[in-house]
Amino acid sequence: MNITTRRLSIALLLVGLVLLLPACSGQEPPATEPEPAPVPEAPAPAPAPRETEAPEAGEWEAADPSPSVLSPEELNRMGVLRTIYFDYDKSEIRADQRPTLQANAQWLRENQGTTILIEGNCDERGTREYNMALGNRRATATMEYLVSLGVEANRVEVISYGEERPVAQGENEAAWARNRRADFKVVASSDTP
Amino acid sequence: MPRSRSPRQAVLTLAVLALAVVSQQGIAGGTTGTAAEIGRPETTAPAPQQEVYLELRGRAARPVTLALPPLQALAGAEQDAIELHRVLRDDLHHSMVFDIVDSEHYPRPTAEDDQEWLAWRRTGAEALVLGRVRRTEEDVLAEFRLFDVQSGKQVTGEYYTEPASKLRAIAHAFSDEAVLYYTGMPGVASTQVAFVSDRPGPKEIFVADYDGYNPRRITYDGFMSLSPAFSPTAERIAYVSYRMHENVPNEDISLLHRGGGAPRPIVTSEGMDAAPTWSPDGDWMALASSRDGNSEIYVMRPDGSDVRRLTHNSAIDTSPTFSPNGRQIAFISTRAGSQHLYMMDFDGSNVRRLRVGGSQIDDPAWNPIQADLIAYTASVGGNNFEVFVYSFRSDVSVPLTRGYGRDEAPSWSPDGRQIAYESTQGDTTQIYAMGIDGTRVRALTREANNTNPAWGGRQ
Repeated sequence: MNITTRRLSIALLLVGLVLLLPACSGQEPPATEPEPAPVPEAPAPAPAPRETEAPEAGEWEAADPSPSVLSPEELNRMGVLRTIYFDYDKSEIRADQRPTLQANAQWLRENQGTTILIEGNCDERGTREYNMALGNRRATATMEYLVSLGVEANRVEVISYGEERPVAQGENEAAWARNRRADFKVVASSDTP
Repeated sequence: MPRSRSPRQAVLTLAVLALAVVSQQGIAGGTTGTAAEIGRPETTAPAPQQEVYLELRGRAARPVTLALPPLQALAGAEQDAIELHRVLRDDLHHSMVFDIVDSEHYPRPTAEDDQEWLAWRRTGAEALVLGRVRRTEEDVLAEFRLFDVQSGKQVTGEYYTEPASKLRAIAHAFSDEAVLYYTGMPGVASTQVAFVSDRPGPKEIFVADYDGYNPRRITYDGFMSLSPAFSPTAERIAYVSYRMHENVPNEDISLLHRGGGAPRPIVTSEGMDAAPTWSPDGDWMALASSRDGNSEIYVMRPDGSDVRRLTHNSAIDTSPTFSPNGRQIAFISTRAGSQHLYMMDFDGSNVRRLRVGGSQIDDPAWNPIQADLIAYTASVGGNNFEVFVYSFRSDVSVPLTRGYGRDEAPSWSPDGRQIAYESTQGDTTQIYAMGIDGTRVRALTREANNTNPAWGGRQ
């Protein structure tokens, strides 16, 4: 993970914590006790509303289990894994798509704590039931290629959306070509595999 | 009018001529319409393909000519009478059992005496429906009587009292009664069609009356639900549900029971599970699953137990459909390179290919009554797909739909006389229904996109 993404993650975390503060400053102790023990709650009944109170140091640490890990949503928004495309009615990995898959495999090898979902999609041509099976084949072929590049099979799940989730509308080859694809979604991320 | 052609001659004509019909495919234009209307003008023989459709029409039933004069409205029920008449007329027409005599030829209503029966006989009508409608504050009271015109005798009659909101149901019920009298089996006007709609945003399952009225949403999975399939008694609907398993969606098969309750997942295996379908006795389901790595056909009990794998090859096998006696399963496979139609025994043995018209075959739907008919979807060139019907008996396939768009996913009515299907024209997909011969086409949906129709049993 590079410096920029690390900074981004910390910034997002700070924003999140400020939003969480009112909930954390109540009677309930934090779920996980940090070391050292948190400062006891201030005994004085402050007249000002709790929302404006300054956060206590212990609470900051308590809600911060692993600041360097980006959530799956953040990773997907950043587009860390890139879509690959297929020929009409084919599930073989195209030669021009292999560099993309190799880059995806490399990212997965470097981010061992992640698991992903490969979503197979089809263009609208052909029938729905057949395209459901074809989308499954595309996702499976993509998974097998990643595994051949050293990605652990148990980190990869596949799903087929058939022709039901097009990204491009229109009855033309440009739209169809964009819909014959396998998308990659990070579904879990953590520090350790 | 009764057809005078002998069955043997008709079948022979069918066999010879329909091959020509299939080979002519890919040229016909126009929007989805009644197939029989569209003859090729440059054909020198007198519209030979029409014989094929006549044969199919005869399979539905010997058409009964029927007269349906305006219903008699008692004070305050004028609008109800008009509406009931319109719905009943549509129901009888779409049943494929009746040919409604043009109202221009109706005699002026007089007393029901011999003179009048003579006048009705002259219209060519074999059957006559007379009705009377009355109205209370909340209810519609309707009385229908079905007469045999030749004898002048009433053959059946019904009296209905329903809340005004169920006006259409009254017409549906009497239409089914009339079909029952002439065919020995109730009609399908009181049945339902399930389908997938994106009107809520995510695709969810809806159920509507057979004519598309009263659509109501029945799933709230929130991600995507597809491929509904009514159990034979219409008590349950199986469908493909994309459910979350620890934040990861997976294609599962879920079961919904009529009368409420949350959908119950019955198949949650990793990988694809798709195309659920019921055996005619409701004891089994068939589906396509990639649980062993590749899309294969399986059968199982409707609770997900006793799973048996039927196909074994590296190609795509999908879209199973049971024969009416439940002993065979037709399905699609790419084992010979492209998509073809196959059938096998219930245990997976005795696999053979059926050579049917068109390419990229899919969506086989075995007629639930007439065991030698299978409807299916096929391309007639590029992305132009049509709904076809194949007859084992005459080894002939004919298209039932026409047009440039994609007509696909046929589903037979429970009486095997009508077909619901989806049609994509431009950027919208809607559900339509038609008769067994491709005539009497009507739209069931108009709002948003609606796909995957599944025709079910009675309400």
